[in-house]
Amino acid sequence: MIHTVLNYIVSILSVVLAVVYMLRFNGNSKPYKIFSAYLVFIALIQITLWVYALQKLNNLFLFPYYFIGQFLFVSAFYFSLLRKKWMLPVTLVVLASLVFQYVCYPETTKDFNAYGVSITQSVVVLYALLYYYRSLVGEARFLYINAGVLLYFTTSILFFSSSDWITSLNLPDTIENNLDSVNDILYFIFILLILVEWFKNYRTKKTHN
Amino acid sequence: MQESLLQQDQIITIILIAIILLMLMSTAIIAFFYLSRKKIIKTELEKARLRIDHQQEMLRTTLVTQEEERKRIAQDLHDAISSKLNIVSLNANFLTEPQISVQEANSLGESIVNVTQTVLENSRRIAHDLLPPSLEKFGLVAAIEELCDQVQESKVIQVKTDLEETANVLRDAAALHVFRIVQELFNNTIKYAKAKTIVLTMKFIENAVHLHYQDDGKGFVLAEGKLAKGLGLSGIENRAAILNATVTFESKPNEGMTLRLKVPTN
Repeated sequence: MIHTVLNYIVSILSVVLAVVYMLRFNGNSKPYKIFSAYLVFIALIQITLWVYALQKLNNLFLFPYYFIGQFLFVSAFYFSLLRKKWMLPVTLVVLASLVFQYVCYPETTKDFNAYGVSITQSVVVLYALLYYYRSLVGEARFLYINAGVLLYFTTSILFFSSSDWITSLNLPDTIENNLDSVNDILYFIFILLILVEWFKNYRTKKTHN
Repeated sequence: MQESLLQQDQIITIILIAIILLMLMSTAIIAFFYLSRKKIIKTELEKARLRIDHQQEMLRTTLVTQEEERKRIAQDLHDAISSKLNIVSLNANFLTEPQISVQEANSLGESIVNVTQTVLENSRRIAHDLLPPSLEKFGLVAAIEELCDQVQESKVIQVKTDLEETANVLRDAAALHVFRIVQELFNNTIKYAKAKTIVLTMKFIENAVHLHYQDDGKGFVLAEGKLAKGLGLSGIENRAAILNATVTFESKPNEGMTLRLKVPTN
């Protein structure tokens, strides 16, 4: 029950976030625009998930698109903030390793891909930590988003990387749902922090260049 | 069946504990970031406040020095010119008296000429003190050489100089500030130090003018010297700050005083 309610809230909020961020798209900085695009991408994934869920179809095939897309958008967001040259080759190497994995082991597309999730989430956590270090002095933007990224991506590494293993245990549905609820709660906190960022800094029309 | 359920429970508990631990770790990092940022901003604000305080102190000292300089000029004008011109005016008035004898008139005329010459000499000296013409015409090195000659004329202090012409790269306001610093140093040595020798060098090395001033006078405790208003060390420091220069003083009682000034030219 909790799992379903949370799933509803998270999905609706994902769409709301994409809409509110797009409202201030024009006239805002590049990192803001990239993050808005990421939110639109997440909203589209959520809608597709719902459509598949309503038709009672397996939607796990969407997972690789979700986490690779998420990795690319969030990396681009941090690249626009940090402007470190080494970030580009790091992102490309991670991406190449994922392509290699999917080509050599096509069966991984049907599960949660512990390796792929761990590596992409870890790199994003590294970027978030680096951004915190950079923001210690001077002007600091997107601090709520960064806190959300750090909190959600760190904990979800464990959650997603252990998902295949949990599925293989054939646990009763109630326990799996409860574990999903934990992830939903974390995701809800992440979304809430993104909403706080928008509410505090971008609700009114002003430029952040 | 019972055992399997127990195992499942344990697995779930371990995963939940691990997730909670990771959450706590992330929260700790976020809290650490906010606390560090707060502390760093506080330190930055403190630094900015100290910088503003220092600038205000510099401004205050500059105003005080300016006021003292005005008083000195007013005193000079009063003593050396106004009072003498009063005598000229009085004597000239006597000359208009009808019953004055030729001898008296000659005597008064002679007095007027003498006093006028003194007034002229004094006005030239005051103008020269305010801004030595050689500084504008021939540059910093020539002006300092002239200053050294004036000090040497007293025969009390011997001045050894090594002033390189390349140091003339400093012009206008910068040259005047360096000249005033040297002037202040000479004043201190003459008034307080009771020195016998002054060594003054000025060179242009690697985009900076290096000035080295040393006397063998009675010296002072550095901390006390900086507080003593008469020595004008804060004035020297202020001028150095305006020039974006670095200045160091070295002094100990009975061991003379040394100043090193490095004025960047770019």
